Amino acid sequence: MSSIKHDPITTEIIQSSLQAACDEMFVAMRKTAMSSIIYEVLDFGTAVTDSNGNIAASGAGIPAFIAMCDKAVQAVIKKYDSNQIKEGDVFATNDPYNGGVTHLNDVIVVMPVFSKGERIAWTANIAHWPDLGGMAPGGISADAKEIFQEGLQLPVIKMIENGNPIQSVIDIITANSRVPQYTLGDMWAAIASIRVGEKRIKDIANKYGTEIFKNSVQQFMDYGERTSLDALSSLPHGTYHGEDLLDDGRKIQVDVTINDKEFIVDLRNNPEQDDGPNNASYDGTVVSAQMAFKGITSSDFICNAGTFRPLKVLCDEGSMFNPVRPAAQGIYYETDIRSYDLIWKTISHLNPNKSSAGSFASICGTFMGGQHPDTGATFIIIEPQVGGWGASSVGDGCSANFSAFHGDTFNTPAEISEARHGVYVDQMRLTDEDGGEGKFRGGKGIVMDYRVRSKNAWVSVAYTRSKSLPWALDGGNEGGSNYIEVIRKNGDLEKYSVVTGLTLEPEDVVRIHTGNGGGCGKPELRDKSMIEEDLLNEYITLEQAKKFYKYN
Amino acid sequence: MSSRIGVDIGGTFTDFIVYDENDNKVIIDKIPTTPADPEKAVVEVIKRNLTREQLSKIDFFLHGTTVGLNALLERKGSKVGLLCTKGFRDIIEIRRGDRDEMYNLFWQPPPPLVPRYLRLEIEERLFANGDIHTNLNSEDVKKACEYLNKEGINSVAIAFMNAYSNKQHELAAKKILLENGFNGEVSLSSLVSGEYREYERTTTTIIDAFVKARMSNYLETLKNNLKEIGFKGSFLLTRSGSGSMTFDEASERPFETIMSGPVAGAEGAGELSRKLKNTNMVTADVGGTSFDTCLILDGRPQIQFEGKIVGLPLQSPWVDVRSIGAGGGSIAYLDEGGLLRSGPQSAGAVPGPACYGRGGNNPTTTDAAFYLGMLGEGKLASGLQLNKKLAEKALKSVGSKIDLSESETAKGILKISSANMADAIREITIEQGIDPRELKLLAFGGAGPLMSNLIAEDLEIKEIIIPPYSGNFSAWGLLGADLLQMNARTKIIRLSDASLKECNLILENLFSELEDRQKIDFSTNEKIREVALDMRWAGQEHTITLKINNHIDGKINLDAEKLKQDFMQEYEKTFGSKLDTVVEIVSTRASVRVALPRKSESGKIEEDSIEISSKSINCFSFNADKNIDFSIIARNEIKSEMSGPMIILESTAVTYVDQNYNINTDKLGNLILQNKEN
Repeated sequence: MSSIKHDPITTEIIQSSLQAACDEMFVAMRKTAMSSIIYEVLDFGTAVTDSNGNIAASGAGIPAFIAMCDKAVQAVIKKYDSNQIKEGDVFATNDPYNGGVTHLNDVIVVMPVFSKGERIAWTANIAHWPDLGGMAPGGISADAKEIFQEGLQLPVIKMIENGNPIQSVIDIITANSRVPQYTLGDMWAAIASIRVGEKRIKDIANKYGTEIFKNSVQQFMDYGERTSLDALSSLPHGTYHGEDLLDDGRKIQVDVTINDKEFIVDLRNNPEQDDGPNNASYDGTVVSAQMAFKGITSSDFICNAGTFRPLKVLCDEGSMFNPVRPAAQGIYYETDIRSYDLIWKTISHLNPNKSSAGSFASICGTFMGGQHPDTGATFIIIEPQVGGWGASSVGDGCSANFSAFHGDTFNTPAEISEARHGVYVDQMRLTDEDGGEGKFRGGKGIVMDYRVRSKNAWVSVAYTRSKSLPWALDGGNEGGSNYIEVIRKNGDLEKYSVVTGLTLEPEDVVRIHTGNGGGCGKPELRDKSMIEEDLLNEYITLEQAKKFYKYN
Repeated sequence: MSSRIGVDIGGTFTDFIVYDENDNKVIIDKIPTTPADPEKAVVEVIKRNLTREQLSKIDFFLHGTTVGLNALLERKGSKVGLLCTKGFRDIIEIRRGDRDEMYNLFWQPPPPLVPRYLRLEIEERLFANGDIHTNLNSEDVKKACEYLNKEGINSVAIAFMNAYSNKQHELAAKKILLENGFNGEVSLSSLVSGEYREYERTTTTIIDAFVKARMSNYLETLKNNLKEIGFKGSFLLTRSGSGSMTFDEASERPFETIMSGPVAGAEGAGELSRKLKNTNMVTADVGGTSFDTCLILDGRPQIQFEGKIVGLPLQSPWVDVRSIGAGGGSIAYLDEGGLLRSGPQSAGAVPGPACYGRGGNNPTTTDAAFYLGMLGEGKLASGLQLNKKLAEKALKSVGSKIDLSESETAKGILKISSANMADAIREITIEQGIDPRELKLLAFGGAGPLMSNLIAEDLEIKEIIIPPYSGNFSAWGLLGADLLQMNARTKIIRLSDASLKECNLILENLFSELEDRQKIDFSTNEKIREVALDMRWAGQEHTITLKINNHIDGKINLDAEKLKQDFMQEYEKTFGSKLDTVVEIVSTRASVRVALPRKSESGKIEEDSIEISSKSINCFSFNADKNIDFSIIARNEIKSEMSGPMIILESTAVTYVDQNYNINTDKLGNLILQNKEN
């Protein structure tokens, strides 16, 4: 036992240790996972909560995943008596109506951390497992009408007891996956990850003492709250109304009220829940609001349960932002990013120094599968896409970045897609399409080709911001569109923004297009030297320069 | 025989050390860096310490430099053109799509090193396994060559898709460039890194091309200059990833030296820690321009693979040293909000701090320390007498605007810069969950011993170590660097007895490439081959690197089953979970360590004696928060435990010992400062 007294430095060290534990969990997951969506794209998150399931720290990765794990822990605590929660137990949920937050492919595994017989924390991991059954390979289908069609539901179950796997649970998971070797590989990676965290936290608690540990965690949450309140006091108070359109033409709207103590996101009076999978659970909608809240209050790394105490989110039950069972939720992420983007559009101008035009703002989830032409092994590619971000009042937007939902997220290198999946990447470049012109340009979207080399391959996508485009500011032009083209071997061309299980033949090309971000300021006000530099670098064509920028 | 010279070029000073094995004699010196032609200071400092006759008997010249790094930081490298596969010119702009600051919705990546109009697409294509899909279109390369020549490009990076698995197209493209009148430098991705991931490999190749001309010119000039003044031995440069490499190899692979500058200090700290039974420590290397810090655990600095530098990935190992712009020459100023700030602007060696009397008007950390009495009477070893009036004037120029007295301003400057330094240390300790209170602070560099009390106080570190030759410790660190070379190739192989044979063939190739690269011009009897394999369970992407001890001269001497068992064990140790399926070897790694002849360890290090004119000075005590009398003493006079307050002088550094410290020396000649309060 250390004799270190409780003091601000100890609090800081414990907090940083929790952060380091999350990062270690993150690395363990990344390095042992079997699916590229996890090890390259990093579509997963890790977190530590206090003993009651309040988020204390989280690993790098996807901002949208940070505040998800706590809901799962809370669901476990609600369902199980404390004498049923023992050292070495592992629980899992993927049920969005029950602590799972997102969709059935995202499985959250959590385990309690005990120190000297007392439960002091939880470690948690959320990750996109490649396939848990359902009507379409990869689980996600735009045609799903009920959650039962989207795969195996794990309603807050225990999968490991006292360190011993419950084989029947694992057998059920195995039997329900189209690619059990990948699914089980990722499952064990997730378990390894939370075990690494458990060990680390035990070490910390043993070193500093349980009481000091618990106390420090609470103090840091209070600190998170103070940081948020400070930020709120410097924002202009009032109620702000915002609207946006979905690709199908329906309107969504929000009222955001900001005062000294609260940040209220009122998402009532929005479309009813979707017959298909375009719904997001209330917990998921809260996460969207948390991200927008974090974006406007503070861009620093501190993010815990205290940070979000001032935030309130209101939704009507039975709406697309708070559906009731058995609504399908497979494409929850496009619904979440719509509510996030709506809130951001409503508040981003409150930042006195910088406002931004809209971004491509879609996950652009792309699912492909088939057989590796050389090895015959089944592969599934699951990846989000990068696109253009909106221009700001001070400069051009960022090109080819993941949406705000992602942060420390990486695209899959073409060399890895080719080596592992046996597809062929013909090109990966910035788009030449129109959109986002302005005094400051929106960042550019991309064009990427996957050429299929084997039989019985398929593709599914569900992109938004395909028709309702990224907003412009101050006279700039709207951004571009997100969609795919399928170019058949015979030259036929098909265009989609939503499609499920489309069959592909060898030599067919799936061409992914993501849009430019919106522009800021009138294009004719763009500096001539910037236009000429754009021409030299072929960011714009001479036709575009003449047409949009009145260049001559 | 292994007499050697170490020269470490910092932003402000070029530090020199020579170690003569015959008589165990050490000479150290310091001279202002000559940024425009860094070799000038090197030649000058050698000439003024050694005769031609003495120099001709030295065996090794070991060097650390920031020439490559500065070229990258200031973006003052070659104008680079890129040849890439058709359809992929935007790889370096698309990057990996990630955002460095995940909550910052206005984040921007650094601009690409090669603008889009200089990225030229070539028709050619390889499959992932190295087979040719589309032949190299030589007409495309010829056209590119013409364009590059027209644009005045003097360095070209060639990075084709999947070239990690087959060099053929890159080599052919280089040949065509050279045959068609291109006479600049050419960097090939397949030679820079044999590992996959096109963005990382392409960027590393571009960085190589960007710094190559500057680096090889510099090394060539330096070599010629040293030969002219009589040096006949071998030329070695520190690698970013520890160890050293010959100048010839460094000219060809400059990307391996980018982080060479601050590494020498880290390596020296590692060596010292090993002599102190692997004491865990954190370094505080304060030079004129920058503060560098490195964590030493179990006797070794931390090595990172896949580094990132100014936001660009580098597919190469490097020692984890963090730097901030805070040093003795850092300029203090008022920011827009009227707050006192320090650095990263530095007064450098010219004009230097105001008190140097060489025309500097801005107050620096050195001015502040001197004004408070922390530098004693201010007579430098070089003979320069610091001027207190000038320090006062400079402090006043800033302090008067915010109604602070000169001494309040000076205290503020020291507190602010030491807090910045402590924050940098926090980043590599607390933020990794490591408690700095359990570490010792190793302070060196011209101003490290001066700042050490304040930094230690901030982090509650109880013990400070000041090594011998503390002002030139980085140069001392250079002296111990073995020659080290590494080579790797990505080729995914399923583990079996038959495939191990393939692995051994790859190793044979890797080692023979290393032999070709080596060009050693000294004799050695220690040349050690090392083998490691990056392995994983089939289906995984990431690997763990398993060091293979059982090999015969670089040939693996294990059967597949035993290797699998070793891997399983290592995997379980690393990740705490057990799997048992097919094992894949992803990358095969070969390295050759050529030990320099050992330094003799027998001699006790002697410090030069220093002339002291005054025995005490009225100086500010941060602990007492008032001015008190500090005794002034030469370092070599400390033979038993003494107590602060005290100013300790040695030829290239000054140690400030506040009243709350005891001080002693250990067997190795280190000064040990122990906080009395705990």
